[in-house]
Amino acid sequence: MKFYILLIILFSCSDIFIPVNNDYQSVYLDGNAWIEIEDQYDCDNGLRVINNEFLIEIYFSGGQNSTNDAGVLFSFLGKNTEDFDDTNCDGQWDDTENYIDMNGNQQWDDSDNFGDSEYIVLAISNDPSNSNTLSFYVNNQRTEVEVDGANFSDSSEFHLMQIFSNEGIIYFNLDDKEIYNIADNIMIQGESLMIGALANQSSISNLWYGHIDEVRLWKNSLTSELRTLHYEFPDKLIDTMQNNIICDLIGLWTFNYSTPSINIEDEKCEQINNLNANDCECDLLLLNGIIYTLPNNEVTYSINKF
Amino acid sequence: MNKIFYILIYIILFSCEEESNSNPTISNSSNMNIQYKINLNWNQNEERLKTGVNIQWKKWIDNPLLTFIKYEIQDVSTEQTKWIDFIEQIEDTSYQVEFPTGTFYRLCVLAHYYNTNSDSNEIISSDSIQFFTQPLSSIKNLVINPEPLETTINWDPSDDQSINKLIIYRGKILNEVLNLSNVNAPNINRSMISNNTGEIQDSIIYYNDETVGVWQKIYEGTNLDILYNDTDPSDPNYAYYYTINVKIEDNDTEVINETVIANYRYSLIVPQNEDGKINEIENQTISLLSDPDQENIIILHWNSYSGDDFYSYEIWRTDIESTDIESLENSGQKIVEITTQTQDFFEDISLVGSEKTFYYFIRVNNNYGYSIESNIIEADTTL
Repeated sequence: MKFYILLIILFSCSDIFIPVNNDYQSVYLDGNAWIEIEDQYDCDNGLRVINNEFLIEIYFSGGQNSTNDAGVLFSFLGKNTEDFDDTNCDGQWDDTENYIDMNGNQQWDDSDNFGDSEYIVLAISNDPSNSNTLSFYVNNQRTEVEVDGANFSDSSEFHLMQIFSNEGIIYFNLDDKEIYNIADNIMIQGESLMIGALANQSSISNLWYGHIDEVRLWKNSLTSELRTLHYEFPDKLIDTMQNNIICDLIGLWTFNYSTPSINIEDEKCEQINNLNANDCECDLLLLNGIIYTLPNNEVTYSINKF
Repeated sequence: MNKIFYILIYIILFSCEEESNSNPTISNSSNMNIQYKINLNWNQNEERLKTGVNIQWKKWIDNPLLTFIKYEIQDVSTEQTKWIDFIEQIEDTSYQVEFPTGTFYRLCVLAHYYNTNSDSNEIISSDSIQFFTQPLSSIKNLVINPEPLETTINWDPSDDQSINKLIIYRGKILNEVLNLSNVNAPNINRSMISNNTGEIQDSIIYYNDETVGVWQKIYEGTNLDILYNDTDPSDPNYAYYYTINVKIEDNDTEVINETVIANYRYSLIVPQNEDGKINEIENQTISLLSDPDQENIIILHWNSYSGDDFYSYEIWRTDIESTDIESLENSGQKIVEITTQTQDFFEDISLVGSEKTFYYFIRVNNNYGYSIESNIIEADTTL
């Protein structure tokens, strides 16, 4: 009988001796998939917070891309309109809302002179020619930055990108070092946050090759110390946030799942409610995302992480 | 015994449970309402031709409100748009357009469709894209051996199999004129050549409005020829030069009300005597520039070469960072040879990608095999 038990153990389920960790830590986008997080048109808890002070944190790696096309880590594509105060946060200008008449013609313009659904409000791409180079797009203006020592074609090399706005300047920090900044304001008009592609509702291109480990969105740029903590202790979000600052967390997408999922739930309330003490009102307005793949393609979850 | 049985069941039920979740892949095809764009470009699956271009565009995207009717190909090189063809099969998204060799044309593709919402036929157009054919390959290594009673001429044939005619020209010019410091060795330029036949039609060589020489056709043959003995006696008062023209002559083509452009290529010019006067290329600065970075295209500009001994421009490209001509030439490739002296721009759309960096230079060749090169430029594409 012992012999039979041994046989069963060895052959019918031989991997029980191998520790199986099905807690996936990241998703690997192989130029064939992207993640869309739709805006919820909420003034305090939607993607619109990016119009003011914000922080986007993306833990990611690059990957091997044999094409001549850049991959886009994330993008907001939208319209180029005159700057307006979207008081009701519906993503469009209403007659009663103030606007800055940028071309001085004393009327609101958003089509002939300004409209462009492929206007790049905010995006970061890599460079197929140089594996250590990133391009930053802010209001359709592009700046290329070489990052010494980085290799965005290496799928085992993880980074933390922190994009934040503070007093009219947009900063781009990679691995806790500022690599670019620009004085500018951006305006999201209901566009989705697209992770891993340059995309809107009618076009998709420049898919990313690499891991997406975790993405966080804050309606506050946080302090320099906290941003550094997030780099040094990527898994310690809760430990570093035992106060009300966590209330500024607008979206959290961890990709830490036991089974692969196309639905990328916003886990901010789960995290906030786990804290010992805070006054946050996590009202369950969640910014849930969805993974999309190109036709007949599959996306792979991974145990690799930052 | 029962105990062992339960242990076995337990092992089977629970220890293998996680296997069902071990596949880390997942699929979720997007149902986005993708806006159709034609994206006209070279057909990268077909080789580049010298007498036509293979183009390709994106297949129409099915849409319940927009019904595909047909594709239309147009030549928009001039303000007078020329219709080329209709394609009625939605899957047919490639086409070969016939062009003469060494020419540039601007094409666009239209997609005609019926819009249910507006109850009307409408059109989506591609950008107008510059396409080109390469010039024919000339004969190579033209060598002239003058002997007392005849001059032996030999050469390597052109690589182009479609060439069916070869013409040898001999030019002569009075030595007393040629020896003047302000007189160049005889050239052949576009203005001397018939567009219809590719042959030299204005063969007289002038100096101060006086005839001082002439180009003469001395032999007609095929691309199989590699040797010719010129037995015409030489006049010691003249200096002699040779060049060979190769052609594709299509006798079956019946063209009505349209200019025929001949497919031809001249070789470099070689003097009869080794120490004969030749033209070194004018020492001009050729400045190569690129337009501001754009999506899917790199546009190059340069100042045209102004000498009367122009033979061709060559544009070279590499994606490996290069600071000198030699390394760029070694790592890159010649992407186009242009035989029109006045052309001063080129649109590169071939696999230029996005956020991709390329390095370019342009070389100017003259009729006697001398060259000058431009500066190297770096040009990028954007998202």
